[in-house]
Amino acid sequence: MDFAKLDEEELSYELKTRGIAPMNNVNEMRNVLRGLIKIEVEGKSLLATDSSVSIDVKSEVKTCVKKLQVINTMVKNIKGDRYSEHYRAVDAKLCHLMNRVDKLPAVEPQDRKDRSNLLKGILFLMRKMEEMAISTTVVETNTNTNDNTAGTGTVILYEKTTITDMNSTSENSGSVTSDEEFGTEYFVQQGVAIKSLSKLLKGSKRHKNDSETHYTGLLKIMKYKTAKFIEWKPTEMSIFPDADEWNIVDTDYKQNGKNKNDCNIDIKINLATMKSYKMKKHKKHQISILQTNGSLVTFLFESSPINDFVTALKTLLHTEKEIRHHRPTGVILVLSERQDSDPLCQSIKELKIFPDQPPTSTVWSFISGFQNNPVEKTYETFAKISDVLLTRTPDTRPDQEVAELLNRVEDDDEYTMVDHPPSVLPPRPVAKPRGNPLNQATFYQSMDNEGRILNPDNIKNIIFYGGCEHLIRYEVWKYLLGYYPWNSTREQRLYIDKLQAAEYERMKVQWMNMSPDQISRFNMYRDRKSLIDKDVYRTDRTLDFFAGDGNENLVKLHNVLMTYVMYNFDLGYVQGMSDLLSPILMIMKSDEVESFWCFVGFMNRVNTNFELKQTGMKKQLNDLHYLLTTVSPELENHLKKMDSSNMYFCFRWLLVLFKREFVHSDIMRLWEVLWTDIPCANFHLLICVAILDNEKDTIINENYGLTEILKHVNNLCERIDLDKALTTAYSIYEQLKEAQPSLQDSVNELLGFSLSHSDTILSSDSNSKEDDYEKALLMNYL
Amino acid sequence: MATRKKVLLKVIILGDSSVGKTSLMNQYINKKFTNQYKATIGADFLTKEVMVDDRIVTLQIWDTAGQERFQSLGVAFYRGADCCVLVFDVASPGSFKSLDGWRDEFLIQASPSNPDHFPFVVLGNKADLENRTVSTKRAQQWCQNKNGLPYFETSAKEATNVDQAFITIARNALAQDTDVELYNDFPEQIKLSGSTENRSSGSDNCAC
Repeated sequence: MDFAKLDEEELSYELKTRGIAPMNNVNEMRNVLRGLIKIEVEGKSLLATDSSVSIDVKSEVKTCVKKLQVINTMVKNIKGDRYSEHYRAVDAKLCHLMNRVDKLPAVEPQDRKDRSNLLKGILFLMRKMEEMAISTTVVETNTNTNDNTAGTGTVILYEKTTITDMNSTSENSGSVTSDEEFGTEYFVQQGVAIKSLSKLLKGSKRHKNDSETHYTGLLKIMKYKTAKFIEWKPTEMSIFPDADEWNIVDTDYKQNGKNKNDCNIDIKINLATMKSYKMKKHKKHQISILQTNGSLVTFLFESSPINDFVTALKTLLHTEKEIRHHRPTGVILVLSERQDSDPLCQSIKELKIFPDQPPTSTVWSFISGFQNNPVEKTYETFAKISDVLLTRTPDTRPDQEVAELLNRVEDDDEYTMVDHPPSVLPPRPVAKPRGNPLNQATFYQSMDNEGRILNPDNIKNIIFYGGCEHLIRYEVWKYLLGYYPWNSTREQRLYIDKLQAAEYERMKVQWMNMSPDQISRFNMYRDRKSLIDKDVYRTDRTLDFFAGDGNENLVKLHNVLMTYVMYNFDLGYVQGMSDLLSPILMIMKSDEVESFWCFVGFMNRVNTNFELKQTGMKKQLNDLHYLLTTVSPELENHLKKMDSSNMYFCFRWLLVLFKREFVHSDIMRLWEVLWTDIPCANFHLLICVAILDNEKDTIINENYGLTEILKHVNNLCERIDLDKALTTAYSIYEQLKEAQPSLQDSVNELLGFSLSHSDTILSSDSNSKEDDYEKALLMNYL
Repeated sequence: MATRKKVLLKVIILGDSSVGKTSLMNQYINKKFTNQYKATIGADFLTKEVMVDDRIVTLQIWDTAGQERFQSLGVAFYRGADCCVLVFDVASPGSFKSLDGWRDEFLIQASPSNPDHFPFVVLGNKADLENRTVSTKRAQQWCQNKNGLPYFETSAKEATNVDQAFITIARNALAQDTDVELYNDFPEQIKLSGSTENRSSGSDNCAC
């Protein structure tokens, strides 16, 4: 601990706990303490273990809470990396607080509760600091991106009070204000909702099962002198949170955000800037409108049919169905506004021979031109017509990106996909051979004297390329699975062990203390327990570790899974979880506490695989299909022909992350690679693609159908060359990276290429979590 | 229907987790038993050629995951099933109670053309266990109430009644198959899947 960073009160506390009376001089206290700590490092604890130092628990709790709050603000304001003065100061203070809370003689239940809350707070701040230390630079870029997003403003969106200001800067300045008064209502519809605005602003957020916030309001089409607008004003608000138990935090966050900012919004869309629209008549009617600037607005017709609105639009606009691959995509392209009722003007305008001039003047200039110089004018006009016919049409088609944006709105339709022409990728780079595994020496040398891992990224890199030596998996997995923060000191890790052991025991006791009588009236618990009982008995029994009757490790497997049920009762136990736990239990040398927390870390990565509605699995299969379409269009074509594009034959791979496909030694190597999140969080999908790509010729040449593909894939079990799969997957990643600009947004997003996007999401998500945590802290203590 | 073409019969085994679906299938096809089968994830099938009333048929037996939440995704494989085997564990009343649910689920998901007469066969497995809790009478009664479904008490472990059960399964599946052929006396290849395309363009027409 760096005593230079502690204040007087803290120093005197540190002295008191070592049985020394505090002095008046701060520096003197520091010197004494430095001396003491040197002795302590050598192993002689000078800490007064008896309670000779009497502490008033209540006031001590108060002091600690205050300190926690101070540190919380300090953490927020940390500038610089982990070596900066600022960071080390906070670190020292946190260390001090940890000791202090640890020594709180909490006897009464209320004190114990306070103490445990304090500990949680400390642990949270520790993790937060670690994140900061890792991503100081990332955070900075994030703020920039956020600003950008707000600046470009995907929707014409402004507060009521500033309408006039905004209008004066818009294209139709001047006349608009007066138009407001004289405009005529062309179409009015009550009870039209608009889809969550945050979703609009961050279009890439589609994959999150976030709650839908809908704003109901009045939809109008207004005709003003110079332009026509689709206008929408909110009348009330309705929120439909998903019943998804894991997103409660997110929902809260959103609701708060909305109350602050999003209430007073109007939406105005100039018909002249409409590029295309798309309707959906699934459950609720909805229409998504895309503007030329790329912004997208979706209106939901909650009770009324959409037809009247569309008919109204069509009388004002010239439209055309978008056709791709001889099939309508459902997107309606807006060709132009129907400007005037004069039929001659209109047909001339439709020819788009004179794009720059208003139709009336076009007609007159054409007529006068024809009178003055008939031959020349005629040729000129014909030339322009052929120009239109030969070259103009593509302009009115939305480009691929735009089409995708439109189709993005469809995300609640599972498996809805657009046809995209197969993208031509650059040749795949030669697969790089795997590297050497992380060895003991490298691992321990990477720590500073206090046991912090100085460069976690470097360690992760080694693991990604070569895995870990078996000997150090017991240590390394705890970092990879988030049990130990990478920047934790030895001292802190001992502390975490202690804390988490207590927490585990607490939850374990909950189910162990359940009496048979109680259980008889607790159906949901019984179901979960009986599933675990059945699966433990048949998990990896062929491995020595679990073999034989009365094997103690089966009991441990059972205990950890049962405790997880108490940890996350809503998810409970789902088949496949025992597969995920088994290697962890082996590596953790049958230690229940460490296995449990590592398992929690693993589950945090994959728990959506197990949810009741299987949305996580559906999404992954869908994402896999996207990637395969890009990487191996021939295979994808074949799958489509064989009614297999739902990719269900990869279900087992994804549900338990290949656990059933590889032998035990391989699965450990594979998982540690995946846990590094290098090169992206979806690397496992690329491994799927790599394996399938390897089987491509067999599947296509043998003309395998739905069942044959499943059988073939199931039969690959324990016959896949892991090193080859890993290296191929990485070279596919590099290949895609090179092709990045031409890739679809969805693919870029999956692979984390579109940095600006993904960073925005990351930062906003973690921010919301932190905000919530801070809220919780304040509620506890203020 | 005296066609001599090769007949493939698709049989789906359904039932709660750990009632012995995988074991039954493996006992029937590989004549092997081990209590170390892992919980089935996803779906898999095994095939076997059998003689049913002097016809050679290929049985394609589909093993499925028992936990309910995994059912919805495997639906594609259940389509075109010729017989559905409902399995429960005679020592687990819960698994017996679930039979109704499994039957309904299958009828909804596989949507066979004649749901009232679709062949189900019910197996009460683990009959070798001493602590059975579902009586034969109770199981037979249930089957009686469902249009008299065939009921067998089996033991995959001791290979009791397994062959007999599967022969009945094959026979009923074949009967179903011939029935379907009788009803569907159409020339080949009426592609119903193509209709989605027509429908989507149709809806475009009406709205735009």
